Amino acid sequence: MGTPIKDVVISDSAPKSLLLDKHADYIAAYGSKKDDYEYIMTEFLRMSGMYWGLTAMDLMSQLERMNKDEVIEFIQQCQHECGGFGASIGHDPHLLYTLSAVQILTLYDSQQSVNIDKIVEYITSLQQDDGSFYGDKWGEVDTRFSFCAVACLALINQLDTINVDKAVQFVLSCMNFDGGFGCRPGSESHSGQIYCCVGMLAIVGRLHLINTDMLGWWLCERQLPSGGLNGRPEKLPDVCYSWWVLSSLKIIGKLHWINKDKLVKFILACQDDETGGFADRPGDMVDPFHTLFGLAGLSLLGDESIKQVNPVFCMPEEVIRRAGIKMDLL
Amino acid sequence: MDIDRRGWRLFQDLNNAFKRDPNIDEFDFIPVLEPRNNKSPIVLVEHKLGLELWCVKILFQYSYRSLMAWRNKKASKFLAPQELSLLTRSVVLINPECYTVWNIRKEMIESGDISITDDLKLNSIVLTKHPKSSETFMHRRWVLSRFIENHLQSSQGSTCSTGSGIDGFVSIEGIDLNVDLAAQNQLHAQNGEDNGQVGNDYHKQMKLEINVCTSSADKYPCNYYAWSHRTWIIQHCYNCSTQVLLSELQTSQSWVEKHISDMCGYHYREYLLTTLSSQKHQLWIHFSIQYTSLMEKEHHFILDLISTYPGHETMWYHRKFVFSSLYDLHSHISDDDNNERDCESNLKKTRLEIDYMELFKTELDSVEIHGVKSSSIPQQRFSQNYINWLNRTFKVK
Repeated sequence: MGTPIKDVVISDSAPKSLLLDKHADYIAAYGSKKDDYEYIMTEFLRMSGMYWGLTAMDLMSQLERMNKDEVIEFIQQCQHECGGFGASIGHDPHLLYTLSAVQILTLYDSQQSVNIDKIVEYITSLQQDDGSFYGDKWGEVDTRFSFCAVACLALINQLDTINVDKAVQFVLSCMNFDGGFGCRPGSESHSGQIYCCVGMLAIVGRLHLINTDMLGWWLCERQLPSGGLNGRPEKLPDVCYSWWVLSSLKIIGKLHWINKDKLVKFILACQDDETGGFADRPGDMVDPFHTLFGLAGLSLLGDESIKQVNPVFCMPEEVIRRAGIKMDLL
Repeated sequence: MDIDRRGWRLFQDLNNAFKRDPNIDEFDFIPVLEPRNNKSPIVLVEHKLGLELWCVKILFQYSYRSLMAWRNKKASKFLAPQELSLLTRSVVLINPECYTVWNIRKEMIESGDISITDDLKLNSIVLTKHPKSSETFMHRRWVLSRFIENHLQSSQGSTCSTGSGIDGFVSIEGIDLNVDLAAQNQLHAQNGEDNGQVGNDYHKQMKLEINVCTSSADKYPCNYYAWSHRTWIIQHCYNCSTQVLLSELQTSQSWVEKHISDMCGYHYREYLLTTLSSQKHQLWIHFSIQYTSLMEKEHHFILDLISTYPGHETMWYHRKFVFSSLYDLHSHISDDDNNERDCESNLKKTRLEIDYMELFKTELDSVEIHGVKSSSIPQQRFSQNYINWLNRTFKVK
């Protein structure tokens, strides 16, 4: 008797090697079908979508295949009076898309093509008395936004414009009994939120405030028999959670606590060998989001055909170095 | 017919359906892939609204493009607020992650073109189709904050109110939320005040909020957004009132029993218990409940679940929380004791040390007997993991 564990079975026919060229073709073609229903259905996150695609291309050393001028012009058009960026032209400004915009500009070494002072003004205006950040002027609070604010300011070298101590205090108030973090004080631990909180603390140099043993245990318990990682207990494995758990483990110096070979096998099995791209789980539909996190995961796991990825910013390490950002991971 | 014209027709059909039935309470797509002759693809049965799948794309493209063209000031014609509001409705029913469209609605609520009640009603319908839409819950919190503000203002305007915002939270004293509703009505009748209605509306809306959370959690397992919304309601709309926390502790128990693999339910109870731990005094004074007894009850509850349904990781996580809390309670009792009666405490301290050593040992024995020797292999694994955790966390103390 017993309950079967929620997991997937990887079939023998699943891909076992990395199909880099197919992935590059998949991403390069993705942006060209602009009238598609799918394309307008996802316009609300276009800026992040572009960050996923472009970062994936850069990690595969094929960024030059993308139209840089078109991208920069699009980003310029998405900056609002207040300094923040919307997901697409005519969409409202939000911290989520402001970070994606700054990430892309950093990738292209083109920060000067937008108004940086205005970005700083926008981000600082969103910090609250308790240290938390609103995502936009409408006032939602979430630790994801704390990460966005701090990551963005670090990329433009303006971290001293906010109250870092208070920002840290708020993130710590979202720490749970299990060592993990949720979206607000009292919220459940969640791998995505943990990545944001751990990443935020890494950027501001406060990783010593984490109970790394307790958090490390919780994180490595996310690995399932298939090798894939889930985001919370009793959920299915997923390539994007594999990245968030893996990068958090890397940041707190516990990457060796999981079985790397099995995770590599799981991520490779999530490739589509016909269309290119990665899906959340073997056999599902691929998308640029899971494609980036699949590649980034493999990079952290030591695949040398992919550029080395920075676990905090999910961007090529060389780009982070060029931007002059120094971080001490554990 | 060209696509715009078909889109416009569908949009009119959708608006007519809402006109025909102002009490629509559920929405979904119907898996019909081809148009059928002379039949509208928008179906309305017993307050349930259905949209045939083939027309979703056409309706969305029409509504979204019209709306965004207006937003980008590229629209060729003027759009009246009424028309705008209908277009936003059509978009969020199909794709509620379009945050800018919710923002248009926020602006229209601020300008008085959309009422808070109508907006919350549409939002609930959206959640029946998209129970884990984060943008929908986010928008809901913004609207609810305005709702609370309005109610505080109305109750402050009346003579019997003491309500005021404290530390960003809402004081519910002015709204009389925790008193029995019937008694409250009676009180207001006696005082001849009309403030009772304000309290009633508030109470009704919050009951609805909790229902929205429950049905979204039922529809989508491990629904992080639904449960964080529920926590937000407890904090911001109920000001973490002891009575509400206790009643939630009671109702969430049966939910957890029916959703044994859903970590969200357990975590919600952890949140309730943690919040109650800072209200020990009120618990005792007003409800004659000792906090420790609540935690002991939770311990029995989780042990019972673990032995009834072997092999669920979620339960073992909850057990860790419960045991750790119990252990802390015991060690704090001994700390307090030390502080208060320093000289005579030695004997007592030893007794309490034995007490929580006992607690630790009993827990260890119980896992060894009921877990490690279970016939379920996952159960054996979780038990072993739990024992390792116990040893790691408590043995050195």
